[in-house]
Amino acid sequence: MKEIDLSVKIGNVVLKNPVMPASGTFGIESCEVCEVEKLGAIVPKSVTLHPRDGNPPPRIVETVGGMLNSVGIQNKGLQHFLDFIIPFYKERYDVPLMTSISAYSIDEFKQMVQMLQEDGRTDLIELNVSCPNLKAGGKAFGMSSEDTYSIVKSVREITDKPLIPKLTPNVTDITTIASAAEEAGADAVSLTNTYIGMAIDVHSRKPKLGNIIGGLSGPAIKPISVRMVWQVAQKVSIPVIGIGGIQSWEDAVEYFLAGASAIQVGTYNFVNPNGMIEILKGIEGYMQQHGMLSMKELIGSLEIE
Amino acid sequence: MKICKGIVLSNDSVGEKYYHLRIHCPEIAREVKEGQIIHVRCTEGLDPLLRRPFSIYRYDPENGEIELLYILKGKGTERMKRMQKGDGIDLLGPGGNFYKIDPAAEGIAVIGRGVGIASIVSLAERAKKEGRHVTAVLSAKTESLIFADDFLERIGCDVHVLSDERGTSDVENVERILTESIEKNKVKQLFSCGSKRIARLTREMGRRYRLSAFVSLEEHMACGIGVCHGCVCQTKDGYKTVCKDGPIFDVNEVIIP
Repeated sequence: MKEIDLSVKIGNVVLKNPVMPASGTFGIESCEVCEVEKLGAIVPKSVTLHPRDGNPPPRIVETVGGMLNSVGIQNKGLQHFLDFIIPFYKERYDVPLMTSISAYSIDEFKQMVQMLQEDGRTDLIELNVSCPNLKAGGKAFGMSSEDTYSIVKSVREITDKPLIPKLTPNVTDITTIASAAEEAGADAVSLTNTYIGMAIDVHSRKPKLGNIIGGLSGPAIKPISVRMVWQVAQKVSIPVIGIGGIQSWEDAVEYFLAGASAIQVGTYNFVNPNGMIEILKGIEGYMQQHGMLSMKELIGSLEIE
Repeated sequence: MKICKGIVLSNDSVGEKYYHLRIHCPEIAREVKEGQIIHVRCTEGLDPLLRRPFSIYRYDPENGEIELLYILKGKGTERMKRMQKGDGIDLLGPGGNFYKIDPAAEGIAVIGRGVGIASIVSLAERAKKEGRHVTAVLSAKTESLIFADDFLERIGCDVHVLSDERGTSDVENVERILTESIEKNKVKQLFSCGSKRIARLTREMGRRYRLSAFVSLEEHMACGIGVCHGCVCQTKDGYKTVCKDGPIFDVNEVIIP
């Protein structure tokens, strides 16, 4: 039996396989219950320049086939990340580290990328231009092609590490945003982030989230994200990382067929913290069954009459 | 913390709203401590999607058994109710911190309200095994919602059953019982679960009598392991996760709304 090559390349970094966690759903605590060394990449929770307390609780609410969250990127800031989080992973695992950063101005993005570049231990940088849990009705940089272009362009000049803007689906046409990112020098795009949603307690007549609105994730959103990945993959020539509602290898394969080069598992990590490894095995089994020897044969192999 | 498959030994209805679930799961039974959380996957399907967290009710490391006592509350527990003897059950745990008894405490008081009683039973059991006095205050809307009173009496706890229907569950009455116990039985620690009113009372009494007081909190959870920061509570030191930093907090640290 021939060995199946699951590796994919993002910029100048080769991942041994295309499975990784979505930021915010995986952390140091996950390592106790997940075979981390088998992952294609490690993606810790998004970090911001300065520490953030996060949003007032309640921060999560379950919906049918999904969940809303408004955590608000609670984190201890980039310096803490460099001092404690990076060493934790680097000392234990020989797995590429994709640092996910979120910022509130272009200057802040630049400052953070500069610090990561100087530190050197980050292998890939995901630019979270799309976190919708912001005030101002959830508006984010990723909602505008111009802002997305400006962010990517300005950090591109600072680093040679692969840059992967994570796109928000809360836009009119995600392909124009993806194209802007590509034009500005992104090495890949990841999509989608969560969909802005809301849930109301009919008895108290109050919003169920402390932040009123939050991001919807989970299996409920998968078909919409698959559609966006398919549209974007046809428009850009850089790799697309598919995200949204992946719970099984079949879900992952759908994304690959639609054109994704890699996938991120998010909400399902909460249900099954080792689920990514089971999904990975399933992808390999599928490729074996279909006589595919490399990811190239699978990616974008959707057949349309 | 482990993900493991347990086997349901029994899942019986208790009173009008509760179920008592016994599970064979040696991996968790060996590791779990009083007050910790077990996260149950209620269905293989997508609805409900997330696991449901429960305090350990009782456990027996020798026989590899754990017990949960849950109240029918929503989709998750409605699914759990259908589990039968011999069924597999997907568990994640034990998670969070546990009740710590001060070795110098001759006596402790445990106060449980409603299904919160489940959380303090194994604590009372441990304290009795260690030869301490235990005052157990069990409170609920109706007496039919009180459980474990017989068991706690049998192992030698000083049990007080209070209910709204009998008008005995007011804070003043709980205060009276605790005061008497503190003075008589050298109670050094107060532990409560299931009532913010009682948690506030234990804070006040803790200050008055120089006792330590702890509360076990309940919150909706997503990951259950401290990653997602979905289940936070406000403390003097900022937001903390109920699933990992808790569920047990010093009443002087946590902000009780």
